Amino acid sequence: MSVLSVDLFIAALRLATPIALVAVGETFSELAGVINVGVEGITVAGALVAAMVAFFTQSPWLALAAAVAVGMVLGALHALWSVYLRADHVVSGVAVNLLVAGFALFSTRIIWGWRGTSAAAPTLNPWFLVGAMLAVVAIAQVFIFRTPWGLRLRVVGEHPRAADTAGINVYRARLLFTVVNGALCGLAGAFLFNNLGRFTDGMVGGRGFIGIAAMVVGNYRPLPALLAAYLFGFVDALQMRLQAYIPSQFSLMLPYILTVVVLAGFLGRAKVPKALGKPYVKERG
Amino acid sequence: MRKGLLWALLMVLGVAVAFGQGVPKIGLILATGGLGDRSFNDQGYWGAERAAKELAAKYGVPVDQVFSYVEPRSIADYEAFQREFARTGEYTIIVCIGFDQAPVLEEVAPDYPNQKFVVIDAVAAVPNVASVVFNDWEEAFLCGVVAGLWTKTEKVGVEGGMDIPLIRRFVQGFTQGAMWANPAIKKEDVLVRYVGAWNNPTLGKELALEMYQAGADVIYGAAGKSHLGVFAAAEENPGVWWAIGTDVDQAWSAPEHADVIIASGLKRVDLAVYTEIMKAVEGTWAAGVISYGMVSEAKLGTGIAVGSEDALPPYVVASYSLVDIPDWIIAKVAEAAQGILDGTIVIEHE
Repeated sequence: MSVLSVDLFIAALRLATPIALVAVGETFSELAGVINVGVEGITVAGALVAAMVAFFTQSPWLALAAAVAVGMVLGALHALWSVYLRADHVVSGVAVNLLVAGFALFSTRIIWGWRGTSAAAPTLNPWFLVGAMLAVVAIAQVFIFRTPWGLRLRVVGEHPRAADTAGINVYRARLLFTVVNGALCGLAGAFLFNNLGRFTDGMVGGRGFIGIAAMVVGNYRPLPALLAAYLFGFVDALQMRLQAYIPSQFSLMLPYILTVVVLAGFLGRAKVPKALGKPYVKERG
Repeated sequence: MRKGLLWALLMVLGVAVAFGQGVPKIGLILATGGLGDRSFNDQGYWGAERAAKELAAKYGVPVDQVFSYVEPRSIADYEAFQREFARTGEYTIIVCIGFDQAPVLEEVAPDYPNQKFVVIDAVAAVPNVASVVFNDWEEAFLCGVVAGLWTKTEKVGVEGGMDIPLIRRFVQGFTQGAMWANPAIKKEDVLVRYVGAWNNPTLGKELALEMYQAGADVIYGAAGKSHLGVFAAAEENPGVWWAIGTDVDQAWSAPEHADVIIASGLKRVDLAVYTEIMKAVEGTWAAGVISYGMVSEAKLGTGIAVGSEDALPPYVVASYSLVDIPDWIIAKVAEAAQGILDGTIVIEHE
């Protein structure tokens, strides 16, 4: 069958890249105990800001830096709300999503006169960012499981009081890793922008949320999360090719069926950090 | 003294109200894709805006006094907006853009029997609704002719938004056009894929790459914002991969891709919206199904933008494309358009 070609596996890698970046980012923040469902919005913001900066400065490198920076700012905002002000993590994340969705429609109209769509802007070769994603996954895997800092990170999400007793600043660690999460989502957004050469409001299309699913399937480990992301990308790429053989209604169902099946199978088994989503209150006196 | 003041105030108010009633008002409910699609919704907006500007000038009032529009975020918002406009009773006509508004309108319109509605791209069988439909297969057929003559691989593709009757008619028209123009193209040489979304150009690009890699060298996009991805995909192999746009001249609306867009089908939603509004204002409006297209009572509404000169206006008109299309192809497109007009070419569609 001509469906299984090299192109299929290459397309799957492209489709998996933003999902894997979000999955690794979410792995960092959730290991530290912070749920961030705002990853979808942060990815949108990364793509939007990349398009803006590339459009105005004509420099795709500055655009890349700006996308990562805006991701960090939004990550910090989420940490401010959820870690320092102890807001419900999910509510704070949804707030980020709504904030960005509104801002995207507003700013595209102000800047380009078209609601939700930017003009074209100069890009980097998206394969460069695919490479960056693979490097991020490798570094994250080593960092989390082979360095003292990775151990501290896991303790913060597992037993923050123990971490605190050992002299780790729980608040600062949670802030730091939520900012790292934001940076990686910004990078995912930058990939999407560089892949298309413009911003449109539907271009992220749930890949942030699928990133969270990939993290769950990967069970809080970067390398398995990459494999899960690749599986999601693969099914999407496969679905497109199967349309030549089966009605599109059925092949378009495949990614959704996979998500449901995989989540049903893995959600219960994942080793969730014990203090996930719980605000930490430092004892006084 | 005080009484006099009150009377004066009341009179001013009365005049204002009476005056206000004389000015027609247009309500526009866009489709969920919203403005910025550089195509369908934007055209609907332009049509209403043009009518609004003319009316505002005629009555000497600001444009925003004769024209209000809303952009629903999801299908669930349609009903609330339709009712919100209709309930006021102030609107001469309420224009609903998009096929998915029709079923909602069938529920809402009977509750406001004196309100005039127009729905674009679908039929709502209610006595106070004018349903505007386009002969989409005509623009698609002409695009198919261009694709069939331009292809070097004798293989072309269509990227649809969803597998629904509206888009299938595009596919049918395009397929027949390609086969009419190029006997070497068989039905199976026209690849058909659906994105499953109208606003996801990331998937649209992947889907286009897949068809290009499968051997198609011209792809026709009929997927809203999603087929912006077709243009981005064609840019990865310029001079070999080509794209055709839909509904507006996309070499104009997406100028950075004018080097790969060889033509665009035209669907003049703006003309239809403008015409229906003016009919309502002038009192000649009637409910029912109104088709726009080459073979219709209006005799306008569909066509193609290709080449650098108007070959058969208003059906075959100039495009902003930077690709040099040879005259013999343009002549063949004009021949096809003439054939559709005089009935020698009959396009089969569902």
